[in-house]
Amino acid sequence: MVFILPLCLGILLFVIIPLFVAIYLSFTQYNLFQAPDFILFDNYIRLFTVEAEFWRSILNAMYSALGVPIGILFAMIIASVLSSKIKGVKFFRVAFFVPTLLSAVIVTLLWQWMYDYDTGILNEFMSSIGLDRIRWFSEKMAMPSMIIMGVWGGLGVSILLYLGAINAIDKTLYEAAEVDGANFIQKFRFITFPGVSPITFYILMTGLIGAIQDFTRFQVMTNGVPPTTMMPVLLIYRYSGGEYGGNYGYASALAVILGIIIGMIALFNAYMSRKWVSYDH
Amino acid sequence: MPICPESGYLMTTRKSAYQSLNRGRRISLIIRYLFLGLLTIIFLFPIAFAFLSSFKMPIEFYQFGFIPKHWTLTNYIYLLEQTMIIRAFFNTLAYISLPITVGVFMSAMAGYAFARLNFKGKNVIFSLLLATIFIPAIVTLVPSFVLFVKVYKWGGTPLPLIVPGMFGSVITTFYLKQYLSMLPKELEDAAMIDGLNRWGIFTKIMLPLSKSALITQFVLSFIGAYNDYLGPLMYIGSTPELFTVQLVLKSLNAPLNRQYNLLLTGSMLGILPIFLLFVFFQKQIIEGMSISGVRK
Repeated sequence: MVFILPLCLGILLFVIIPLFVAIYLSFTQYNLFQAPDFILFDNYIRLFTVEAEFWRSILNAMYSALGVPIGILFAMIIASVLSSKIKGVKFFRVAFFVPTLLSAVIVTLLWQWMYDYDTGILNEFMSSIGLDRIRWFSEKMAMPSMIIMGVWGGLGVSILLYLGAINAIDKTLYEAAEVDGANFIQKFRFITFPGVSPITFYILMTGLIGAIQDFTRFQVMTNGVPPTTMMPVLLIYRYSGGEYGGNYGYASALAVILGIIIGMIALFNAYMSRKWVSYDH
Repeated sequence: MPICPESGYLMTTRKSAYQSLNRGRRISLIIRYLFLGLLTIIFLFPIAFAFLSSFKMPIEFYQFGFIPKHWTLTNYIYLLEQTMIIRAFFNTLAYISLPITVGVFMSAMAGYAFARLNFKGKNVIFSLLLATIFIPAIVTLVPSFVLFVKVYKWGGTPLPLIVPGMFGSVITTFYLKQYLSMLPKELEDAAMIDGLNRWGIFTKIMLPLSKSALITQFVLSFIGAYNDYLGPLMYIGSTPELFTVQLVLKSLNAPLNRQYNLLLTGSMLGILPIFLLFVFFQKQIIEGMSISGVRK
């Protein structure tokens, strides 16, 4: 049918074909100028023996991904509070959502300014209450700084999603619990948390996949320096005509492996979700 | 006490919601408002502070202060006159206008087909399309670059940013399919009896009826495309005349001798279009994002 032709053509041209080209390229050495040099598994052998920076970037990405469960926890709590009898829900909803509208570049620039050692507002605050100024981009602190920034920028959407999910929970469950004498924590643990678990699963899944492929804010903020902030996509970018020159074959191999890792994480997440996600019957 | 003329009951004064709570509940309410208030400050303060600071003299950035001692527009004037930001803004508009409009239209077509039409392999194709969402973007990145630059010979042009989006996106299609399938069928049936063909039904009935969903998708696509960074970086990152707004902002961020006044003011200018969109389309943005999350 002609109605689906454009979409299918687009997916074929810009997703399916590149996917196969990626796999092909990963077995070659290619610098864009000479024809691709078919070197079979050499890229992968290099990846699994000599390569250290890539695997360190994977670890960094996992570290960065800690921001996802942190964000989930905050968002759930904030959405719960907003769902209780509070006036001005709409105002707070908009206020918490605003950071999400900002582009990654702008969020990064704002926080870079706030994290500045000498003139940044955070260190000004620290010294005004008598604490030492923090080197927010030292080797140890760089990733935590990025996590804080990431949580700040991403909470808005999660809060919105949880607001919707909490709203969909049957109110009578809460009333019945109150009759049985449940306090706030019990209500949260036995009604709210299971009730929103499908949304939690969704946020966790998309959050993890997004965190591993995080690029913009790392390239703009630190560009991989200190090495604790090197991320997988940043490295792949470097091999694709960036600082490491044009080694598109190797970059493809890295991307393929990264894609497989992401797939494994997604499958693992989906498998584990059976234990704690509860759907309505 | 006075008596209500209608019901005949004695009229006592109503307590406010706050007064009618017992003490424990009251404390809980105060704590909750404090909590939300603190959060509001955390979320909004950076932006507000940056906005105020954009009116400071450059020297003031080495001092501490919330409010500018001397309000000035020098930062804005410098950015608008000495940098490419205005040009970049028009560049950005030029690049994203086609993918947004044509792309959403194509997605609507596909969404209509999956919602209302029946054809062989419909479910299989739909499932395959949905499956492509799970392919991590990173895997298609490098080969796309090679294809665009070497095969299509679009290197150094913004074509790789414009053309793919024009074919529609699976997520948009999915959203519109859901929306269209909930419209009443009777209108279509009546139109078909009147002799209207499928295309006519689509353009004259389905599209007008789905205006709000279409607007939501336009706005979300605009935000996603406007904020995009990696795409422009890869394809036009070396040609400053073609830069998008995001690229210009990044170019202001030299590692040595950072000029925060320019960075902040530039950020404020960069936020402006999105802010305007938000003012006019707040409802659609919030509704759309709360269903599908953030969009690239």
